[in-house]
Amino acid sequence: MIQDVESALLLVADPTTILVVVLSAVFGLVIGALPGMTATLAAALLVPFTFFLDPVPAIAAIITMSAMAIFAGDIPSALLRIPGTPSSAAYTEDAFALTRNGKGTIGLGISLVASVLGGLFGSVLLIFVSPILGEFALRFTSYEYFWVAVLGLTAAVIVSKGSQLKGGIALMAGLLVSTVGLDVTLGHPRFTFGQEQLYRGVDFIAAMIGLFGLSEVLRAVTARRGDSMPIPKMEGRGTIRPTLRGIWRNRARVGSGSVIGGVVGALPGAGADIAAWIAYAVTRSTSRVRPGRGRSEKEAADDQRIEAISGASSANNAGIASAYVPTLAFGIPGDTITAILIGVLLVKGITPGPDLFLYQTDTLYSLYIIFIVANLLLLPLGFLLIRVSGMVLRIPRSILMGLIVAISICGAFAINNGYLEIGLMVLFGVMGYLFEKGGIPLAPVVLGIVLGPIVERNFMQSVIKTNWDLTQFFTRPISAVLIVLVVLAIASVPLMGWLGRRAERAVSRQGAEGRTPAGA
Amino acid sequence: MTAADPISTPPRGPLRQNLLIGVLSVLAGAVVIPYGASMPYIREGIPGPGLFPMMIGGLLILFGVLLPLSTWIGARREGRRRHRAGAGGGAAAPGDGDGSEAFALPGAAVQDADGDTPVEALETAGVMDTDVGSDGPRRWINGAILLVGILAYVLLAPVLGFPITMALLVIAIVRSLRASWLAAVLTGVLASLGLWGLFEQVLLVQLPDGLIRGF
Repeated sequence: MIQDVESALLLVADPTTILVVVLSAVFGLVIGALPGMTATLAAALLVPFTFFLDPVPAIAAIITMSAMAIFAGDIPSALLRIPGTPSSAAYTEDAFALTRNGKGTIGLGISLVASVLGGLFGSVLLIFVSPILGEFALRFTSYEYFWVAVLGLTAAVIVSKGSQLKGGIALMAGLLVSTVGLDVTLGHPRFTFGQEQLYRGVDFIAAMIGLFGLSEVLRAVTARRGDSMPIPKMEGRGTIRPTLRGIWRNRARVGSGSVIGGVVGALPGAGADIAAWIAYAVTRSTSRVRPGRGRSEKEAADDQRIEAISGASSANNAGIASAYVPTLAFGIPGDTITAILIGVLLVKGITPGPDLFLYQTDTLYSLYIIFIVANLLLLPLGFLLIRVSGMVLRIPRSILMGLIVAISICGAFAINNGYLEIGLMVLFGVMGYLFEKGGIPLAPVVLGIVLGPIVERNFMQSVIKTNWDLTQFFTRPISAVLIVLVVLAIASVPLMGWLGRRAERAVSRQGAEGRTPAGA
Repeated sequence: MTAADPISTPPRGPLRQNLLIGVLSVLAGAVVIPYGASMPYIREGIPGPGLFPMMIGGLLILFGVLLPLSTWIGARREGRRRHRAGAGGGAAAPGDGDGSEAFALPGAAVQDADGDTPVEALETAGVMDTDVGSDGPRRWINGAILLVGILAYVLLAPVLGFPITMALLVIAIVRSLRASWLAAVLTGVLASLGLWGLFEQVLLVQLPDGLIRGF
């Protein structure tokens, strides 16, 4: 154990890894701070580079980037009233209102410290929970893996915001893409249209770059003329002390937000944005801040906002870390970013899942260390970003779009030194664009592409092994537990819908009621 | 989500959109199932390679039928509810159809509480350039420039080489978004040289050389 930690520390302390961590941190902060650019887009653009790195720096790049991007998404929320990433959408109104009342930097400072604390909590959860689940997963056979993958797919559909049926269609599209290539049973080519290059299947990385990179550019170039947005001025000095005071006052909120984020993020297919919405709803509905006792109504309103931000902001960063629990233990992605990470790991010959805990413990421990380091690094870099946020937001969109196209093309080309991947990227870019126009979520597509082969391989293996005795899928004890989980997941649809509606109502009510809850 | 008229009719937009998605989904399923069935069987009656595509096709048809149906039922129920509530103004339906990646502000309620400083009174420091969009046919021309540009890149890169072709492509895209010539040319040249250096020199990926072979 100690030896493993030592060798993990050596892997992380490698100059390449340190350089990669710093560069991807800056990259994550910039992309996350730009409205409309999601952490998933940043991950898709990082992948071509991680392709050429050793496993540990590759993992470090994606983890550091995502921790930074999720916090940075709060910056345009506060300054422009546009969330930088979907995870910040829950408390955008509150952050912007604080800016209007001259407390913008304090709001952002609170959100930063809450993010760091939430991220650290999520990391600790990851370190302690994933080995337990990993040990449990050692007893898995193809039946159990089939059910775990089905659980991931079910969750992906359930948490699709908006319409679950659209989520289902998106998932089927992803699964269909995953069947391209030679099949697992007879080696028969499927959907290859006579192209031998397609025998090995659709390249996952090309698909990701297209779905998240190129589709974003397509959306931007065909967008209607927008308004230019004035960026409010913020006074950056003297924020640290009021920030720490605010965090101390809301320590219980940070705690409960972290726990909610940790639990929700660990559900396969859920993720940080849903964690933030739920934590927001809980914090708002249990708030005890009232005007009175030397606190004017306006001050009480601002304190409530700070309270809500502490809860939700700690939740989304906790969710980022705990999304790695199912990823490491079962090889089932917790969200789109971990799905991309699984794609990268598979390319590098690392199979996420219980084997990681047995044979690749130094990689595993380095991953833990990176989580802690990334969250600690977020603190100074985050304060720096708050100071220079105005500058980051002024990066011209036109130049950014040109750069995304150039990186996308290079990344797709570099996969196999061929043009087929560029073609696939364009195809997926158009698909991503059309899906978003039709309100079809993209996350289930990604999970379908990643989990499709796992579901099919384990299903076919199981049925061929037992000569089509399907009862085996239901009668094994661990399978039975997993089936119960799948059923519970499906049964939770109304609950999730209720929580979501409650959160959204809380947001709109805030405006309608003003802030005179029990003031009279 | 505009203010609906009091005697509301179910909104047509989402219904039509979901109908289109449903039809396309059913069509995809209808193509995939026979294709899956035409694949070899492991042995008599036991499908192999075709099993998964057929199952996916079946679910595509199922979801494709259910989607417009559920939208229609939902719209009718909403219509009835609103009718009962009387002229209550347009209650915004909780956002249907925003994917987890696309996000809209829920309700977009402007929160002007008594104590809040009005937006206009904010001191500003610079302007964010969100204004890359265009109007009318220009939007579709921009989309075409992007897609045709990438196609042209694939055709021309082996001849002209990576640095020149990529620079041209980036210049075209940046310029189509109404940036100045200077900004477009600078971005194009720097991006293509930077990526060339990074991929060829650091990551050792062989990018197309074309004309500049041997440099």
